Amino acid sequence: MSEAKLNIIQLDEFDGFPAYVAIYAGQAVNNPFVLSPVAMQWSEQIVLNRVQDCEAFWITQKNKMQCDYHALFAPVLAHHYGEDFIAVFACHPWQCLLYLAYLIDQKLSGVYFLQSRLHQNIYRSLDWQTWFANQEMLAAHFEFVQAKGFRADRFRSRQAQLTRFINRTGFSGPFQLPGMSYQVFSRRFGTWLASVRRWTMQQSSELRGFPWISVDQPLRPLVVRDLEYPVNQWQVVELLLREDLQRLCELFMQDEQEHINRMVWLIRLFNHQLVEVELSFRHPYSLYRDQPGFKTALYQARYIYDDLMRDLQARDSDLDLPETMPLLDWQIEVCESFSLPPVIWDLFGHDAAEIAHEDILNLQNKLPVTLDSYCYTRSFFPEQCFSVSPLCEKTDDDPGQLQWISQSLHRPLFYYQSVDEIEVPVAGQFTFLERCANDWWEADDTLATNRDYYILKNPRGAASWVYRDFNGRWFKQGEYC
Amino acid sequence: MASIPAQFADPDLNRQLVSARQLKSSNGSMSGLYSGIDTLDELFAAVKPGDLVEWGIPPGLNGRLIPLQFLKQNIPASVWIYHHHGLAVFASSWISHGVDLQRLFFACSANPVAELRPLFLEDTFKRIIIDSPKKFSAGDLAFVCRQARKQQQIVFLIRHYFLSPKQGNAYASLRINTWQEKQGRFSMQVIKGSQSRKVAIAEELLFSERS
Repeated sequence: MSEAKLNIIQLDEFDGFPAYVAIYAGQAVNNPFVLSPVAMQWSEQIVLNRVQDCEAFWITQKNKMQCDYHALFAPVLAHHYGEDFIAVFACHPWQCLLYLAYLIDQKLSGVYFLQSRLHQNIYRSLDWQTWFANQEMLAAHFEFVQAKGFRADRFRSRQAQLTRFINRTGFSGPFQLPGMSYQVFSRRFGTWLASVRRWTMQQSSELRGFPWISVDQPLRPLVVRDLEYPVNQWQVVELLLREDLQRLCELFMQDEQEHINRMVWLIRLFNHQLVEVELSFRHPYSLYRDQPGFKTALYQARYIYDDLMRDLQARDSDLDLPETMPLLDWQIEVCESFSLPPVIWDLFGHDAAEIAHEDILNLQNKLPVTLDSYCYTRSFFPEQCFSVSPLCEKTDDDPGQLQWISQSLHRPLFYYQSVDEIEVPVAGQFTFLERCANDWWEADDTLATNRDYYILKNPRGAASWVYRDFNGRWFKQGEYC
Repeated sequence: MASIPAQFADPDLNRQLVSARQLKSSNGSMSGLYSGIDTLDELFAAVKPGDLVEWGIPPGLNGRLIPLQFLKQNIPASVWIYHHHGLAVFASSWISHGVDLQRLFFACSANPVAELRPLFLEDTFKRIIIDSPKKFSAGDLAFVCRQARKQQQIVFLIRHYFLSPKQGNAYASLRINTWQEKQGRFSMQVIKGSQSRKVAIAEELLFSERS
């Protein structure tokens, strides 16, 4: 029994965070902004969300709740749409829609990830009927966005042409076609069908002509500040902004579920010039939970205010103007927000090891620079043996990790991302460290990927990390700080 | 009948959760420094939360491996703020030395106090390492120390030159130079602290394979 369960878990494993999700609600969708503030209404019952915009946030929530993505998203979607929803996560919206059509046809419900091997296998066996199912709606969206050169009647005639071809050749689904390139398919059945075929197969999240129509936020809370006198001191601006943010919070009806990604601050300067600046948050930000201080939003506003004043001073340095340009009035408008159910912002989000992920995310929102987190990757090549990981991502114990985590013991703590060629060092100055090779089986010139690494010491004893490539040229790649 | 603690008397569930979280974090905070190397632990035994340790580590001498030892074992959330010309973090090496990169975060800043002020105003990170800042005035030092004392954080300030007793630092509880000698062993020279002395550590202790 436990063995069977293990097999299913292995089949459900997937790499990478999905870029899009298509959600079928079984009824008319009132709120499309469920997992991201960027959404598209595909049909009355189906919405698309671009979840890659909130990738870091969702990964953190997953780690915080110590669950998998299925257990993370299912309650959120159930909270909004009831139990009968179907959600398909994939790297392209068309793939989400295609698999969703199949699942609706099969009368299934729940959360599905197309990256998993199980669903990928089913997806690859989909028939032409499913492939054509969404194309009527696709044509309607193409017409709505007035896609250049698109004509619905011509599109349908190409579909008919393809159908005749399928009937003649007997290929059972889009993945059964022999290696027909985009160009060949395009010449035979038109660019639009070729695009649809490419979306079906592609591994990247590039839209490549997919008619994405973002839904405008239905409620865009706006506060306007008319000043009786110009202000040019941040202390005063901050005070007034805090009041405005409180008013914004009231406009959200003190809704604790509402989280903001982006606000626009439209400022009228003393010379009546209008300047539009953006207050954006790396992780969804709750005004409700930050009241009454609104520290996070005010930090962001402060950075923007300082940058703006610096730019204005540089521009108007030859004019007789006050040191900081006074402001006459402003307005703040929430442009992107979405609703997160209580299960996500539970304050008991600490993991067993007491790392307060929520605090780190909040702090990240207040900082002008990013906080970086790293993890190892499975490669012996120095530049590829680690990567930046989303903040607070939890890496599971990997049984074969020892060879990866212990390989850099004699490498330096800091390295040059772009290497400089150095003179050939004198014998006796350097000590051999290791020989590294890249994925030589993928390279054209297999020997060119070899590098011999050395520790090079200058006469004062300072050590550098250098390598000699296969052509005998030497490069400095790091310092033993 | 036992009475409800004052902070939980508020009927607002949200505020109660905040109070509970504050209580929880105050119970769980990790205190002093621990490296697992006896010589080092003895030398740093007097360093407690709220202290600032100043390090003199010139580039090329591999001295940063010593402060790194204190970021290995069950560390609280920590941040390493660095500014090296053209150099970036080679994370694989940190992992090989046993640093838990799920708890240690990095920020690149030449002027940390001005650019990362919110980081010093909050106690999210219990260990803050300020590595060779380009701009770091006496006022910045006073501010960082005050915040560290208030929030019970331990701050490492790493200078890119050897420290000298001629120029003191009233805010630092411990001032120490570290470097790797030609023979391989690591040396430490205490400039200011409970005991002024020179200590050496065998290279093998720092380069033991992570299990």
